[in-house]
Amino acid sequence: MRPDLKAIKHTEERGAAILEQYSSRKRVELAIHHQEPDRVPISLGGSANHLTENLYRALREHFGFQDTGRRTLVGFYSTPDYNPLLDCLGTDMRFLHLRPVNSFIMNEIGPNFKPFVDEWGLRHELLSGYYNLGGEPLGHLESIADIEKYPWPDPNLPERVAGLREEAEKLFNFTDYSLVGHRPVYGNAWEMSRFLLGVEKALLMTAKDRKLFEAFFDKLSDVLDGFYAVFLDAVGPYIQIVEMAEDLGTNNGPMLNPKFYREVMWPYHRRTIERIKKKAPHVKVMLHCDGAIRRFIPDLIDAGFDILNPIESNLVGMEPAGLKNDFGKDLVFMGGVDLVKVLTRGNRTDIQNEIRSRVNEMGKGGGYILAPSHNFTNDVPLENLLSFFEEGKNLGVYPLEG
Amino acid sequence: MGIPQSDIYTAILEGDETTVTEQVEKALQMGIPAGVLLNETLIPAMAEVGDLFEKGEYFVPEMLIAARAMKAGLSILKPLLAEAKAETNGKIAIGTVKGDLHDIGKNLVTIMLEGAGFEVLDLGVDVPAERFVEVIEKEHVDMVAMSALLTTTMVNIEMTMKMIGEKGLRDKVKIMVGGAPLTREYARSIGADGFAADASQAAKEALVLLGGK
Repeated sequence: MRPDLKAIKHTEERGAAILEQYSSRKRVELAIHHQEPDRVPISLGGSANHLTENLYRALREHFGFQDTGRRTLVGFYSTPDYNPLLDCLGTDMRFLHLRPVNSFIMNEIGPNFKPFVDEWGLRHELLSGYYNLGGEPLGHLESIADIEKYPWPDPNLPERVAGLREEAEKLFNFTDYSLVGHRPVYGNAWEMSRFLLGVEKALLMTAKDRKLFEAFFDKLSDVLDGFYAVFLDAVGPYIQIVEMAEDLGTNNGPMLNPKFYREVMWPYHRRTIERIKKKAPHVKVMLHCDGAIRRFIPDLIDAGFDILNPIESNLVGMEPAGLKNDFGKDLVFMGGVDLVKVLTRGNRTDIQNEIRSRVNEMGKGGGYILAPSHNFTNDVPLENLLSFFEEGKNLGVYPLEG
Repeated sequence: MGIPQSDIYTAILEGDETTVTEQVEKALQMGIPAGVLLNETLIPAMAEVGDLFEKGEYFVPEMLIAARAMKAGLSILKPLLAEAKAETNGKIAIGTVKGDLHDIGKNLVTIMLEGAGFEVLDLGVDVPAERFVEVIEKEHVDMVAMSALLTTTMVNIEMTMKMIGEKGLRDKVKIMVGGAPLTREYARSIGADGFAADASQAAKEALVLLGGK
C-alpha cells in the first residue's frame, strides 16, 4: 500500500529522511511520462545544471569525499567526475559523457588552466570561472567551397567511446539511478554556428545570406548528428534522456527571427530528433535553451523535443505557471529555481518558498524535474546549495499541497 | 525609385547597404546637406528599427543588417559632418566590466547608440575600472556604459563606479548599465543614472540622459 507521503512530509522534522517509494530511475521515468512519482526528481550535472569548480571543491570539503581523479567532458568544458558528490546530495540522475579526443585538454578551472585549440579550430580560454570558445575558424565563410574545405571533425574516432558502453552498462545494472546522455557535442547546430562563424556573422547570415547559411547548417547539423549516432550506439539502451543544446533566446525575447527558425533551422532539429529516436526510440530528448523563448516553444514541441531546460523563470513569458498551463501537456520542464535572486542572494526560507512555488506550478501530473534556472555560479553560498538539494527532496513530495 | 531620402529610409529598414550608399551619394549630389540626411533620415530610420525591435517584429539579425546599412551611409557623411563641425549627440565610452567576456549585448548597444547619433568609444571586453577612469579623464566622454552578463561580474560594475567616484569624476559623466542579471532597481541602488534592458532601449535611455547636450 502506498504510504501517506503527505503525512510523513508534515510530521518528519526537516532533514530527516523522507520515505521514498520509488527508485530514482522509476521516479524519472514517471515524471518524463507526465505521471506523478513519489516526489519531483532533482538533478545536478546536466546542461545549465553545473557547479563552478570552486563550488565543487567547497562541497567536496563539506562532505569529505575523494575525487575519482577522472574528468568528464561537459559541453565544451570539463568538470570533475560528479558521481561521488551526487551520491552525497542524493540526486536522481547520473550523466554519461562522450569522451574527448586525445588532443583535448581536460582543464581544471584555476591557475593551471592551459588555453588550447581543439579539433574544430576553436580556442579554449578561461575567464570568471567560465570557459570561452574563440577563434571563429569559419569566420571567413563566403561560399559552399569554404564549407567543403573546412576540416570537419570525424565523429567516429574510437577514443570518443572508449569504455563508455561498459560504464553505462554498469550504472544501469548496478544502480537505480536515472541515466542521462549529456550532449555529446559542445552545442547543437545554431550554438556551433555561433562558435564557428562568430556571433555577429552567424546572426547576419540568417538575415542576409539564407542560402549559404542553410547549406552550412545542413552540413554542420549532419556532422553533429554523427556524434549523437556514435554516442547512442554506446549508451542508447541504458539512458532515459539525451540532451541537446541550442540557445535561441535573449533575456527579452528571441535572438533570431522565429520565422527564420521555423523555415531554416527547425527542419534540421526535427531531423536530428528523428535520427535520435530511430536509434533509441525509448529516449526522451531534452533541449537546453536559455532565455525568453516562449515564441519558439510551439515549434520546439513540433520538432519533437520532449523536455525543456533551464526555464529562466525570471524572464518575460517564462513564468512557470503559464508555461505549465500552455505547454505542460507536451513538455516536461527541468529547471526554473531562480538563480539570479534566490539561490545567490536568498536565505533558506527564500529557497523553500521558491522550491514550493516551482513544484506547485510545474509538478502537477508529473512532468517536472527540479533544477536551478542556470548553472550555479561562484556567488551561490554553500549553505544555499545544500539547502536547495535538501529542501528540493523535502518539498517535492507528492501529492502536492495546492 | 523615389526621392533619395525615402529610398535611404526604406533601405536602412531592409538592411540594404548598397542602396543606402547609392542613394546617400545621390542625395549629396542633389545638394542635400549631410547634417540634414543624418538627422532627418538616417537617425529616424534607426529609431524605427529600434521600435520594430521593441515591438517584436524585428530581431537581432534584422537590427544588425539595418545598422550595417546605416553605417555605410554614415561613413560617407562623416567627413562632411566633420567639415561642417556638426555636433554629435554626445560621446559614450562602452565596455563589459572586468572579468566579463560576454559582448554580444554590448556590441548591439554600440550599434544602436551609433544609430542614434552618438560617438561611441568601444573599450571592448574585460575592461578594468582604471581604464574607464582613464577614458573619462582623457577622452572627455559624456557617458560611460557598462555591462555584465554574470551575477559574479555584476559586482565589478559597482566597483568601477566606486573608483570613478573616488577619482572625483562622478559628476563629469552619466553612467548607464545593463546586462542579463541587472534590473532598473539594481541600477538605481548602485547609483547609476540609467539602465536599459536591450539595445534599442539603451539608445533611447542615452538620448534622455544626454538630452541636455
